[in-house]
Amino acid sequence: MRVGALLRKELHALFGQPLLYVVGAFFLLLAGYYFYTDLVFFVTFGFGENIFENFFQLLFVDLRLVLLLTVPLLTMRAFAEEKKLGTTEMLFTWPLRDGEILAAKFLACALAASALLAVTVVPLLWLHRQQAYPPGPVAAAYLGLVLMAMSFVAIGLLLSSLTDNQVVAAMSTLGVLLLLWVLSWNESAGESGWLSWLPRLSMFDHFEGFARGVVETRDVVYFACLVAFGATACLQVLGARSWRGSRLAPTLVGLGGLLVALGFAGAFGERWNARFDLTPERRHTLSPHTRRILERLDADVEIVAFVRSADPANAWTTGLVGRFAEASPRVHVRTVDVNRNPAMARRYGIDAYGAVVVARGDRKRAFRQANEEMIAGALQDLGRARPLSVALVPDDLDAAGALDRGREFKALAGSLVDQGDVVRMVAPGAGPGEADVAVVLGGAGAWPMSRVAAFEAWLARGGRLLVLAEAGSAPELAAWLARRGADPQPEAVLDPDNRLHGGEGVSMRAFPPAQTSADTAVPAPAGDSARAVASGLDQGVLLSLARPIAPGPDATTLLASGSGSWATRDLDRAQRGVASFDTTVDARGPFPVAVAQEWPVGNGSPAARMIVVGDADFATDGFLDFLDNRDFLLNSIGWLAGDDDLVALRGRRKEVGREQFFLSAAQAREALALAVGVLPLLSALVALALVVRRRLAR
Amino acid sequence: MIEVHEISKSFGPTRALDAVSFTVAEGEVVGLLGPNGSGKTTLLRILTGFFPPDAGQATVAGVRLADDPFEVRRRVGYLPERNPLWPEMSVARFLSLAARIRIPDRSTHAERIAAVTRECGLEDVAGRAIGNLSKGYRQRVGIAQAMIGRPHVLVLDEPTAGLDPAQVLELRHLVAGLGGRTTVVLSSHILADVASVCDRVLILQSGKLVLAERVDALRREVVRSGELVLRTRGAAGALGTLLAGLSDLRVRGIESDGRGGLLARLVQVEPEAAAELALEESAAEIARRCVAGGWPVLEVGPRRRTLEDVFVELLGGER
Repeated sequence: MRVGALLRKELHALFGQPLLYVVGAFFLLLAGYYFYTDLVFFVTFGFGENIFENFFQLLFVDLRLVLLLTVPLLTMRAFAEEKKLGTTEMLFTWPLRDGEILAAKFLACALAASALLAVTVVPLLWLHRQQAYPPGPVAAAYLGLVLMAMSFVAIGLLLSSLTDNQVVAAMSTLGVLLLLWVLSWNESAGESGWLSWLPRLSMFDHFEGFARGVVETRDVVYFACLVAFGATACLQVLGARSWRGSRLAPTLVGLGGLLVALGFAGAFGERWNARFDLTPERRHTLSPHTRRILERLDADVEIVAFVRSADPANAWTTGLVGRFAEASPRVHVRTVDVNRNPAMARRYGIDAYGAVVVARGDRKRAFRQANEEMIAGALQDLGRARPLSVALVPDDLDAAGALDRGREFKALAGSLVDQGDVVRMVAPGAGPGEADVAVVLGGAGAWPMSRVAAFEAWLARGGRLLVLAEAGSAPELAAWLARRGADPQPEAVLDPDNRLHGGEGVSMRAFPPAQTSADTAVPAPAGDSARAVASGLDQGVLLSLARPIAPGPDATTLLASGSGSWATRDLDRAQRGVASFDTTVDARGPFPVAVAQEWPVGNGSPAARMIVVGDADFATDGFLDFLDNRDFLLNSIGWLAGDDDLVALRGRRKEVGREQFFLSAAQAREALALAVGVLPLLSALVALALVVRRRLAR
Repeated sequence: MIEVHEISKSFGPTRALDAVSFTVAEGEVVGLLGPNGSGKTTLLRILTGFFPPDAGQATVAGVRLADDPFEVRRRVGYLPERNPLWPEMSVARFLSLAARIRIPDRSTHAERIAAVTRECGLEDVAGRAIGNLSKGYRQRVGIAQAMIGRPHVLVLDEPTAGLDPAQVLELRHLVAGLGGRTTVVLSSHILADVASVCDRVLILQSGKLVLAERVDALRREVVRSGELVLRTRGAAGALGTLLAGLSDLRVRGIESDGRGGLLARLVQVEPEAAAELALEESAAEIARRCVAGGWPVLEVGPRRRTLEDVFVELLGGER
């Protein structure tokens, strides 16, 4: 009860006074600044990939610095002010034990620091509302931050108890905390001799695990030891008033002993370390896409995993192939130890641990590093009479230019190869040959009527075409596409709300039409199988300098720009990011930017299929990993190849939120206003209100 | 109630208390006198359990300090010399805190807070922040917190320092009212405070207890000087002739009284044990002589010293 009464007094002294809110405004301003800049850095330079590594880890390391700068301001007055006022004499002559006085002050300061940390959760909740991420690692990091705040508080109280000057208390606390932080900066300097144990005392290393979403008992023990050390030393200082004669020497010996004990506790923590990884595992279930491929299997398939005994990676590999065996009775799995059965490895041509071979009859495909998509692709590929043949059609006239153009699409080609397709580059000016699917990369340069005619004839024979139509593509090609019901327009679409924050001004996030708000202008024929290409892509597709595609009467719109978008003919100004809406010439969106068309060709052949997208950049290596770009392309090729039932079931390559994050310009403005504006301002207003109230009470 | 035996305390080379011993009976009000630096505050801090003595023992309210300083603190109410208080706290909140810490029985808190608020006259300022109160009110708040737990012993270090005369009177009244029920030890520079409320004084000098005396005994010291004064009007030479004829008195000096008259000071030739009685006899004789000689008698009688004179004399100092 006495601690409760004292705690109430301490809490009132902290929360009822302006200091906490002034410090809070400073704290939240810095934390908000880091939140915003780390977020912008993450989406612009980190491409929004892997939110934990590229955003949260940075943010939490920055928050630690903010905490280091603010906690000394919270603890400085704890004992120093009491000494200055003389109220220590009151406390020490009341029926209180020193431990009770310390406990109340420690709890109050720890609660104040935790309250500040709690406010920093608000921007993270906002972020979660924009794109949900798994909360586990964030919770681990906050546990680490609270533990660290508690050890900061313990050290702050110790130094506050040594002086009656608040400034001295704050500065010395800051100094000690910085020292504990920088101990690990120059690790090589302390490699040998007695200095080698110094980095182990560093807070830097002990917080890193928490920031990564991993809770380790040795780190918890470390922070608990710091708190114990600070508290014990502080009690010694408070008890010094009753020292008789010189007890300095025994105290120093005692504190030294305590340090040694803490060292042992730390070593003990290292020895018996338990690890709790709160980072989410990727879902270990097969995607509906893979399951459909397994359902369609019409012959037995053998999957062989080549492992090495006691290799930690074995579990992952055998788990992966095991899930295929569980899902289909036609799949038989064998695990082969390469070292015990080298002949078998040679027979399959395997020279790496962890390799997987998928075999059907005498046809087989081998992967050094297999994943679910590769194995599913191999099963689909081996089930076909022959692999799907995809031709990439570059648009430049000379061979060197074509090669350069092709290099920009290496990631796309790699993805197709992973699926088991055969990918080939078409020579400049040539037709699609015997390819099942042709992908036109840009369509700039000359398209003589003869080449157009060759493609028309190929389509009539059952060919399937994907056109990535860049602005400025050949007029002959555009005219032919228009006749076929997908007319590429000469303008560029600008969508200020949906552009990538910090990215180029002509970037734009396009969604399937049903998802664009207030979208009634782009009707689509119901029941069209092509709708499945984009309907599941809720993250949208990131395009760059896209052109509108005017759909024909029976064409299906796959992607459209947002309702705030508009089209301009001034491509130069658009690209320089200085275009503004001109009511006399520019048109208001939304505009279709990807369109699918299907038409009968007669003579018993299946219908001809074609997809036209108003942009080629989105399929290049630099863009392929953004949002749902890759899935949109693979779905398009799947629909064109006639795998209609697989298209809608494709497993997502990347987990939204965790592995892929997109920040639009509008969202960035909101983040800035909330984190750097609203929260610090609210804290400052509370401080102001308290100052005014105090003035009025006088 | 308080037994102090051979207590000593040093701060570095300075010996603040040197083998001090005394006892205080239950219900007694004791004043601790002494010049600055004489060890008063150190002694009071030891009695309140703030720090232990280097040597010696003390028992306060039945508990040996060395055994259980915590229990001593529960039984002693203390107003420190600087009366340190948390300026941002309201009076009510502060008394509530003091009650929660000093009184284990929660059910009596409200009643005790109301009681000390009334006794110390704090009703009008209960809601105000302590930092905004006058010095007098702050002193009352300090005394209220010391009294709130109905302590066996109340220790007040310089309770009247900085108060105006009316407040001093109020405080004396308050402390005098406690006598008999609560044992009180108060330190002061002001002899009048001690004389008006204390039963006994302890005088400390340079860490040593130089006198422990009842106040009424001290009052007797006031006239124990063997000196007599006469104030009259006339010529100084003639007065000297008039007084020279006294057998048991000797003229020490005749001077102007500052108001156009004369002031003659006489001392006994042989100081006696019953000095006061003898002096009064001599005064009557002088009066008769003056009246016979036609001298107007403005004042005649034994010279009374102030308590301060006694105090300084006892300490061997000079005014």
